[in-house]
Amino acid sequence: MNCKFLPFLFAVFAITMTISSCSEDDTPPPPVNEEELITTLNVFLTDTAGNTVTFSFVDLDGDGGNAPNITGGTLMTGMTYSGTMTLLNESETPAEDITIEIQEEDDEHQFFFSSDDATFAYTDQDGNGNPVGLTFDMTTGSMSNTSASMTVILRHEPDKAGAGVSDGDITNAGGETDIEVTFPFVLNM
Amino acid sequence: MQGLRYIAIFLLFMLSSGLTFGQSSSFNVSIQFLDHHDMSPLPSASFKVESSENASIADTEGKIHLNLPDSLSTIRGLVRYGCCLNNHIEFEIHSDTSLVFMLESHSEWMEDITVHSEEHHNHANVYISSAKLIEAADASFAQLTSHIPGITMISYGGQIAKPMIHGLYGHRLQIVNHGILHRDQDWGIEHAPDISPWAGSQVEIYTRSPAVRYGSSAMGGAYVISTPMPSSDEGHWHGSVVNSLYFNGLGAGLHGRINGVLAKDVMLTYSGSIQGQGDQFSSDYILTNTGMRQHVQRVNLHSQWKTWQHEAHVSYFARNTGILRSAHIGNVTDLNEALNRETPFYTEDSPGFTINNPRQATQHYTVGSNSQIDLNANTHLHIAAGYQQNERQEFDIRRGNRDRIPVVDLKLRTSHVEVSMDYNTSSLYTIIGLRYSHEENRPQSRTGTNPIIPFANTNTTAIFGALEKEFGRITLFSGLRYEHVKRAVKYYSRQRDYVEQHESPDLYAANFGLAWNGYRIDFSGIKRMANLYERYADGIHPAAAVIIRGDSAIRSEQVWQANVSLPFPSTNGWEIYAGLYYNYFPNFIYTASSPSPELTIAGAFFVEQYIQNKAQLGGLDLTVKKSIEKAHLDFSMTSSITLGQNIDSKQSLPDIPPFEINPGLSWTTELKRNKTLGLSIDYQYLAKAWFYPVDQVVAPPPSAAHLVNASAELMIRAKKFFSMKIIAECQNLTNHRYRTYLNRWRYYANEVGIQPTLKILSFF
Repeated sequence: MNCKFLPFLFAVFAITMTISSCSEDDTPPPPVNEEELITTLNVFLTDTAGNTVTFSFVDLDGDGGNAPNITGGTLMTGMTYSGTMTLLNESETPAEDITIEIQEEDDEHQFFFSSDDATFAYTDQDGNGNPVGLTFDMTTGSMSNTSASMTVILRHEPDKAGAGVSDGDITNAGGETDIEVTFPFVLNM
Repeated sequence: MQGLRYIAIFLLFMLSSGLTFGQSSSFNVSIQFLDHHDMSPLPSASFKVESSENASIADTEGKIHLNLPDSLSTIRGLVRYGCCLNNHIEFEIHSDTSLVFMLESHSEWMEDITVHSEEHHNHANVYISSAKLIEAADASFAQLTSHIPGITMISYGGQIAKPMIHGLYGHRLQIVNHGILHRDQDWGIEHAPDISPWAGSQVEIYTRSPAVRYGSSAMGGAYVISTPMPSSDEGHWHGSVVNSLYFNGLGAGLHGRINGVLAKDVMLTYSGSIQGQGDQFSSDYILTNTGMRQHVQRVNLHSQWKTWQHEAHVSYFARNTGILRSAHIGNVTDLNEALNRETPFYTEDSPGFTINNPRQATQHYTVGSNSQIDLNANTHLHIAAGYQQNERQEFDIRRGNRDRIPVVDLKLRTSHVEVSMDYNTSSLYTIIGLRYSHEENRPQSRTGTNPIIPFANTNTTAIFGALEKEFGRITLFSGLRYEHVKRAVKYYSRQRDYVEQHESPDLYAANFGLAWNGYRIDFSGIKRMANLYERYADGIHPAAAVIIRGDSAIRSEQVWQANVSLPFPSTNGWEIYAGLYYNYFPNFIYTASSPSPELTIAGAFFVEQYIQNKAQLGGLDLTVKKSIEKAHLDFSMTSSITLGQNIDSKQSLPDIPPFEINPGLSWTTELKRNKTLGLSIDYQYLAKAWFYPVDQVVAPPPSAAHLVNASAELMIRAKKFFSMKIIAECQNLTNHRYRTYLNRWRYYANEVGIQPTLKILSFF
């Protein structure tokens, strides 16, 4: 074989590749069900009498698009509420319960709570004995306030050994924020 | 006022160039070629001026005599000697001149001169030779040219960097890889071009009006990578091997290249490269997860048969890059927390070598063919075809054991065919050509996220022509390119509605200019298509704590450009070169931050929305050189300043390079036993950014930086066909703690600290 035609054959191969590569498909992939999307955060606060107040954040179209719908509630002063949370992806049918993912990876997650009108205490732990925050106690203050607020932050991969972190102080937690929601509520006597 | 200032500076320099006219019509140039080691003449060395058809052969004293028109102030040509030397050289002449070139038997010793000016518009104004590429084998594509005035880089830290020419980057610069218009998916600043300097044997950089030849995407400049045909009359194979050790990051690189005659009239060039490193460290701490792995392979087959010269090429590129762990954050709260940290949250006591999430993994394949058929001595037909495929995967920190599932998974394929014909004599150069290309963007499913880039098919048909004619001492040049693009974009909206959009813009590039004795002025107008990211991006950018949002109402971008090149004639050995440029954009595309953050369940995020405004961009590049031959010293100083303004709002444009000045000194001496020692040191002053959109940045630009870089080179000619070069260099010698405006990492961490590197280059 005359080797001087080797590059030419190579070029024929290249052009064949070029032509055969075009338009192997002409339809976009189907719409995506965003797997890590959290559309909904529900906070259930149950008082000692068994009455439950629900705070919720719902943003069904995810980041951007329509504005989220935030719902607060009315709490009593000087009351300790037992809190639980659920996280959902309601863009899927049926809705996906993200709370299960958090429970499965509880060593990588921690909720932080803050409010000028309440204090918080963790009532759950991960496998290492560090707090998670899916359940908690919320003790409201003694002064009424018609414009009180409560902020819930979920950090992914925080430093749970950081100073004050296990007590709920976010200052040294680091990590990245998966959820940050502020709920308005009314505090009545 | 800003616009008037640009115009005043522009006119001042035009006037100053006009005052220096007045020269003779031709130069007599005598060149003598001597052996570098024993100073003996090289009687059979040949030299062929690029625009000439014939080579001149040196006489028994190694001399050739040329009579060159004085319009050719910069001479570029090919030197051949014996079996082993086959390389391009360039030099400048301003009068009758005698030159002595001392040649090595290995072409790699001959480090080409960086050109400051040229007469022919089709020449690159910066040329990076094979020798320089071998020395810079470990550099990223952006790092390779970042020392050239007017060229800087915008980066996302480490190897994730894009070249920037005169404030323009990304889809306003075109990389041309062996005739293939390089397309990858380096949207935004957080991605680097998926190509290595090792992709070719030489790089030509066009910073002025290359869009006529390389397409409207070359609005801001073009990088043209090629592999020249090896000499067919050499009796043995040649090659080079580079071994590198990087002490910051504890990395290593191995790069090799070999070329020779495979069969009669068939020449092969093979290049391969692997490199990797672990976490780098700044002056104070480890930059966790900044490791990198890279792998490059390339084969070029050249053949020559009668009047037909042909090149076939295939290449593979793969890179896996870690993203600084602390740069992956959540919302604005996280960003503010990061800004207030002296030390990034994620840092370790010792560097790691594993590349963890977040990370980017990209692969790029090319295959192509370039032919030239000489129809007669002056007329050449060129036929080219090529295919490329780019695959980009980005891995994030995810919940639910999804770490191995990419959040971004995109494929891109392009193919093209181009036919052109040129006519080239010593006083006339014309080219006309036709190009068709097809591009497919294919977001992959199974990422569990909405694709950042939609499904798209783009077909482009282009016709171009250029003319260059000498009229005595003046050369006029002009070119025109027309592109018709058809793009179909298909995607599902957030509401799951199927959307199909069709665009068919007409694009163009045109330029006109004149050159005289190295001075040059040119004007160009270019219209480029808005890219997919600018029109369709929509989502949170985790490392920037912003929502990036394209706008489908964005239209094609236009620019009107003017460039002036002013090489001042040298007196007393001083060389001064100044370059001025001005761009006016009636509809510049860029991102602007929203005044208030947007609320999501993950907290508040600022929105960076693509918008279009009237804008202007201008600046000055300056190079000063002085050789003190008796002391074997060379002094150089480069500097550049760029200004950019949104004309509508009177605000500065984002990402404008700050003022920079870079003086350096090098000393070279011959040692005994065929050894040469070179020492160099340079100082780099990076000013604090003076011009930035004040209400568009979350933190003020970092303070000025003062960097000292040094290197030592020992060249050893060990045997007739084996030589070595040992380079010990150190960037940021003083381990200066600093951040830079054009690096997005400035929000999270300091720049890399002291970077000692050892390289052993072997030539055979």
